[in-house]
Amino acid sequence: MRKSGLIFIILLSFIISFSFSTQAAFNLYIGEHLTELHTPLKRVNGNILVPLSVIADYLAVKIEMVDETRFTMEFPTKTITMQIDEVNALVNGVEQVLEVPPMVSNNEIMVPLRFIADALNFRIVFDNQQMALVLVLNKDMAEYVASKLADPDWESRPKSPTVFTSSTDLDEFERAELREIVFLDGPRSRVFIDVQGYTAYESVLLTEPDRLFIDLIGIDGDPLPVLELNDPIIQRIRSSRFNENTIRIVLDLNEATHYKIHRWPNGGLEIEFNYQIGDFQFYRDANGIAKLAFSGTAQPPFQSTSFHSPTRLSLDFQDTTLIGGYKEFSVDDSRVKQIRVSQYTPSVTRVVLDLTAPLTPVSSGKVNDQFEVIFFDGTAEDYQRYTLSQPEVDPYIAISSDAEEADMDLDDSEKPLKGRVVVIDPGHGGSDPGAIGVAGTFEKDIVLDIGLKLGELLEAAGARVAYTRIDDRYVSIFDRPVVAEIVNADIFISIHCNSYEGELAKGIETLYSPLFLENFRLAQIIQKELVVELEMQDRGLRPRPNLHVLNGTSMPSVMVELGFLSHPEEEKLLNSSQFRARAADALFNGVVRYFMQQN
Amino acid sequence: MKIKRLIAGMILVLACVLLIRVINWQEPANHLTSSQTFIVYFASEEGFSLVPEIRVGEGLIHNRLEALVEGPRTPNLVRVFPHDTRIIGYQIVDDLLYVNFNQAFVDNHPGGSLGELLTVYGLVNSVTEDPQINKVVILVEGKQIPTLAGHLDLLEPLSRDQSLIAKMQ
Repeated sequence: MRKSGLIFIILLSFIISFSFSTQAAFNLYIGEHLTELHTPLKRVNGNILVPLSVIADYLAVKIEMVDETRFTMEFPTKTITMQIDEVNALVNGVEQVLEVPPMVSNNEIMVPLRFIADALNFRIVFDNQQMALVLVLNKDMAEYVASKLADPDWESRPKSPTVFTSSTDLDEFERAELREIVFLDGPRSRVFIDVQGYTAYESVLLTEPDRLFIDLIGIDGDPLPVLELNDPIIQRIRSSRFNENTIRIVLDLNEATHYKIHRWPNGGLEIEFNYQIGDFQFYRDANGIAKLAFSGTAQPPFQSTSFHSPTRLSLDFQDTTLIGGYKEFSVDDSRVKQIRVSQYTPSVTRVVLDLTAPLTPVSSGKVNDQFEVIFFDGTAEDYQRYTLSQPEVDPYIAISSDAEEADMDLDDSEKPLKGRVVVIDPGHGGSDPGAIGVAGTFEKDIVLDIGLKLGELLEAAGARVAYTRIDDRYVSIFDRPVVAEIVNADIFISIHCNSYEGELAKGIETLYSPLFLENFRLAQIIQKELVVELEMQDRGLRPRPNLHVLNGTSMPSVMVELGFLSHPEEEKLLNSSQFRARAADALFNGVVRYFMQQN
Repeated sequence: MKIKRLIAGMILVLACVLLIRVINWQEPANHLTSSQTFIVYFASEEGFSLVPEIRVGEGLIHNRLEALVEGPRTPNLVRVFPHDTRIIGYQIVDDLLYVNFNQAFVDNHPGGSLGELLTVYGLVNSVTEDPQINKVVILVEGKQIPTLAGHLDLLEPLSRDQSLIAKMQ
């Protein structure tokens, strides 16, 4: 028992994944036991399907039919529910999606083995010697199964359901076929081997000459023509038929570089090479700024970690192969004593800077084919303080009609908004243009115009109006709600236009903070007025708990997004003065209706 | 039968040991975990929500960030990071992730509250899929920025916003 356990472990580390010879049936071991297969295993889209009765018999699992197509498998730790021809499954009540649904074949329910193995933490290996698939159980499960199967009562279990009228009949066993080898663009050197169906593979990285072998096992089709590449790592990709069962793909490399292979769920393998980096040097530029320069095939991001006692900083460059091996050098610097560079794991290059005082990486750049990390002399907190110490633009508050003026308008008591205070917040401004339209329209100009038009209407109706800006200047999002607080506003209306990647998004949305119901009421009324008046797509109300201008105000507040500048037609509309007047009208009607319904 | 299997196994063990010594095998772990997947979020075509995309590989922070920089592979999804965005570096302090972007992250952002929300929460929701990470601080060239496009306050650490994720049918 123990020895065969050991064999399985060794198999695990040796056999790279499944490999199937041809359509010939192969065996299935569950734990120690060679299963009796009345219905042969099926392979669909790279997934192995096994008869449900085998799971029941050899894993001592209770199967219950919930209804005609749904069934549960009760494992000691997990209950899995599946439905024939349905990709949705439940694992302990949590919904999961199957790559291949259970199906009926030969009057038996077939279930995807990989899914069950993953759910229960079993492993699947292929035993080349015996041409058998092996489901390796964990210790707990192995003991459970052994005890159950030894239990005489278990033998009297009700026979698991097997007889069904076939709902789906499977095609013959699929045979994998090599279709294409594609070099994928991007900063990393990546290759996609497009295989129809599921194939086993083995890979070996060799040096002198440096190359990577990938053997695709159990595969049909012809080798592909040589692919010559202009890539820092891969010179060319060749393929040849190694034997009747195997195609060998050879990637000729400039330098042996660590790689990863990912299997794509619907067939095919993605090979991803590390970045190469090396030649690390530390220096200070003419301005005394500390820099770590290195060469590389691309600029990899790094994870930085600061350590105390002794003070040091580590930079872990992810997915990198260090060229030139371990290096340690001392540095003549006021803060850095020594730098050590090593291949920390096969995919991480770790650079440790032994420090006498803290140093923080803040930026990176590329200078003459060399990459560099740029440091700040101090801690990360010091750097934030240093950057915040540069003064911001002074906030500007414009209040168009003050209380005195409004109070003198005594004969206007009939006006609907008499005594109301409204703050209008045209978004962006000054150095911040906001969204920029496809034809070059600036959001800040559009929203200012609508805001001023709205203000005129509100004032005419007797309201006092304050603006966060009345001209093209920058006001930070932190200062905008302050205006509303100073004038003790009744409502706050922030006016924006939207923008989005592509040209599909269009229409109007009104954003509000869901913290207070009153915000919702205001948003609902205004959105309705806008959609009806402007006859644009209604994208609805958007509860946005994260918008600062809406969170910073203590009175009901909304942010209206009056169409998309990224949508050519809506940009045209927003550019028309007539449309902007209608938008202001709609907002005005909304405000009036809000106050009327409040009473 | 069983003894035969044992012997066959032992021979195999020896063969393996020899082979492993002779050639430089890639760590088998990579193969056995090849069925591992992780989720990152991209935007829906009309910008109504964030939509999960399943990637093959380990759900490490740098893989998630790299996937976001690369953009969606699923048709009809829209990238959330502006063009030419690059990650300079990142740092994990307890449950807080600091991500340091290059200037293009701000300069190339198209603006609009929708775009800003989807960019920021595409990042936050993707990295907080990692149970170790609860909050995210966005840095640009090492500095905290008050806002990306004039709507969100980025001076506070950001938590996941589940409401932006598309509901499954």
